Amino acid sequence: MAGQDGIQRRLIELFRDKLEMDVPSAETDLMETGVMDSLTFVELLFHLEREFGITIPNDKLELEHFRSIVSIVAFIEQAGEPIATLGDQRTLLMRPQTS
Amino acid sequence: MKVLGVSGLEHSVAFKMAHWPGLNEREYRMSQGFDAAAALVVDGVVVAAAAEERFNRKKHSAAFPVQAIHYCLEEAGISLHEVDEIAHAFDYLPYEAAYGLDPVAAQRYREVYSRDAFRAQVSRELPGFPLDRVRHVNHHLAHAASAYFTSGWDNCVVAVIDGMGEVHGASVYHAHDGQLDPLHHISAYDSIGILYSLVTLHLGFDFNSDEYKIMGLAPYGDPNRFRSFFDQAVQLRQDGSLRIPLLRMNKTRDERENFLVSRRYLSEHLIGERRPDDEVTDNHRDVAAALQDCLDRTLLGFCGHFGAKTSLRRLASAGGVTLNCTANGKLLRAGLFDDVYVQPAAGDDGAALGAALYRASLAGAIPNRRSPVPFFGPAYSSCDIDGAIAESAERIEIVRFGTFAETCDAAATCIAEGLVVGWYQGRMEFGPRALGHRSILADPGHPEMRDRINAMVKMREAFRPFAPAVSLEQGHQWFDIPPLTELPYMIMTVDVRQQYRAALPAITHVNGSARVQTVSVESNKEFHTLLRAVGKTTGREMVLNTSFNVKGQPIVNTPREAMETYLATGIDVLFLGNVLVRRK
Repeated sequence: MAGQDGIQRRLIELFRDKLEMDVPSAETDLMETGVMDSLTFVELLFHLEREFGITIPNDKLELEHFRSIVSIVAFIEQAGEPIATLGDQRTLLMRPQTS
Repeated sequence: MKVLGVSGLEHSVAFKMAHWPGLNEREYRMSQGFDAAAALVVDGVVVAAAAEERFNRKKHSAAFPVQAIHYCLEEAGISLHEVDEIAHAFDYLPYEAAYGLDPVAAQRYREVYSRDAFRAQVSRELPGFPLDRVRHVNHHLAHAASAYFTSGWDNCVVAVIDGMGEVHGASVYHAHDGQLDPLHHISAYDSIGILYSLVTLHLGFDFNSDEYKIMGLAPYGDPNRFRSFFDQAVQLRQDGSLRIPLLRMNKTRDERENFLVSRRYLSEHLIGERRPDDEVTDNHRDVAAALQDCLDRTLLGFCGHFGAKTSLRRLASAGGVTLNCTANGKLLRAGLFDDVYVQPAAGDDGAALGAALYRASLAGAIPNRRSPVPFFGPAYSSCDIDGAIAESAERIEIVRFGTFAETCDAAATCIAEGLVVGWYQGRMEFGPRALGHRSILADPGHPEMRDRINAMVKMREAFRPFAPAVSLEQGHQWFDIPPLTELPYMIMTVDVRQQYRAALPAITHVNGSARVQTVSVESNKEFHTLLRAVGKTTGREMVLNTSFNVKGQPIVNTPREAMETYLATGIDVLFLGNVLVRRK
């Protein structure tokens, strides 16, 4: 639980400090309430990757994982241990996009 | 390899109108994907490029640029099936999931942003073109490629600064060895371009269109009065990133879509909103001045940070914000870089060029040479000119000259006499500036010329300055630049030398600056010939050079449009090729 609480606290801070959003509660549905939009979601992924050292491949994106702070906590825990060596180049925002 | 670059998002405004009815026309410009264009690159070399607005005559048109495409193919003498790739200067696919957040966003993705939406337009307008040869390039990467591959530099910083691409408001790359390595991206919610456009809208002008007018208004104001507001609004952080909390105040979908809370904040904490027909007062001038000062400082800080970080001394840039001549001039003079190059079609029309260059570069090394003066648009034959003359024969009289030199001598005489001259020659410019092929010219020394052209010809705001075109050889004589400085794209302001400011009232702005275009015999031969002739009649190889259009209309393309504009305005004489046209 301590781990979950820590992640939750960091997430609330991330929403407040990086995305300038005060989320009413950890259970708030970020999508249904319109708190989060497409651009903010992309930013969120960027910050999650950087803050928690995880990678979120485009083809593995499931919106349900990001519906609330509670579900994001679960996603981060499931994503495994932080990978401290990941650089910016691997994040969604930083990756050059073309085909 | 033949790559056809395309920019624009055709359904962008229609979608917004359907889902946010009741907004005014100016508010619908808070949309993506204007300035649709086509550019054809053959073996890495630009063969033709033009914006669709010049053909459909709708300024900033976002329509799929089918007419521009057909022009490019015709110019190159190839058919559509010979094109190896069509490259669109947007790629939203990596963000598809993000657009699934709510039904309206998902619908917008499908109908406006998706690859399928673009391919449907290709199928509709270019039937038979294989859709597996349609490619997509990230918007900022396209802009970056347009700057890098036309810079003539192998190793440089590339800054892309605009309103927004798919999700970013600014991007920086390290360009080297034919590739673009991303260094940093800034969120669209921290976009200095969007802030500038929002304040432009707040001051009664058009979002995504009239920002250059605010730049022109700024020198009349006091930048200090509202400086603290913009100091708080835009935060440049130590890692080079920007933070603009003002743009993050919008919390609901409607608020975000139209920046409702941000705009209310401007009304409550800056000055009240100006309606377009209201008088321009000191309040508006001072806000414009503070905004421009904020942009200048932000660009210096942002670009300077990445210059220092990479130890690179050359900066190439593109994106709509980099059309801001004042900020460019300050960057050039700041000493942060040894040289600054701004791709002359820095707006979204130029993204079509960049998409094509980028795709071409992936197939193999392409030439990287400094962009010529971008006469990439169509030229029309003497038969076309004669046709336009014949249609208006009862209203005009003409004189035909045997040589271009005689034409220039006649035009120089007209300019020296204080006449306003329509000047139509050769291939049309690509990008927003008229650089001597679709221009209105006059003597910059006539005291009343600025007001006369503003009121009678351009029908535009009196506060906006005109730009000078000067021969390369005489540039340093009149302007505070070293001898033989090349500024061929009219994209940077410099200072008029103090002793000549009073003698050049039509092109000297209130702060002593001018958006100078230098003209060399190598890069702009015909216009240089004219300037030499003007030098013999006025003593200055310099003209006032403004675009050949009236307020609200695109620059003229065809001889017929030049004739119509001439006849509908107070332009005194018109030169169509080697033909002088006067009203009877």
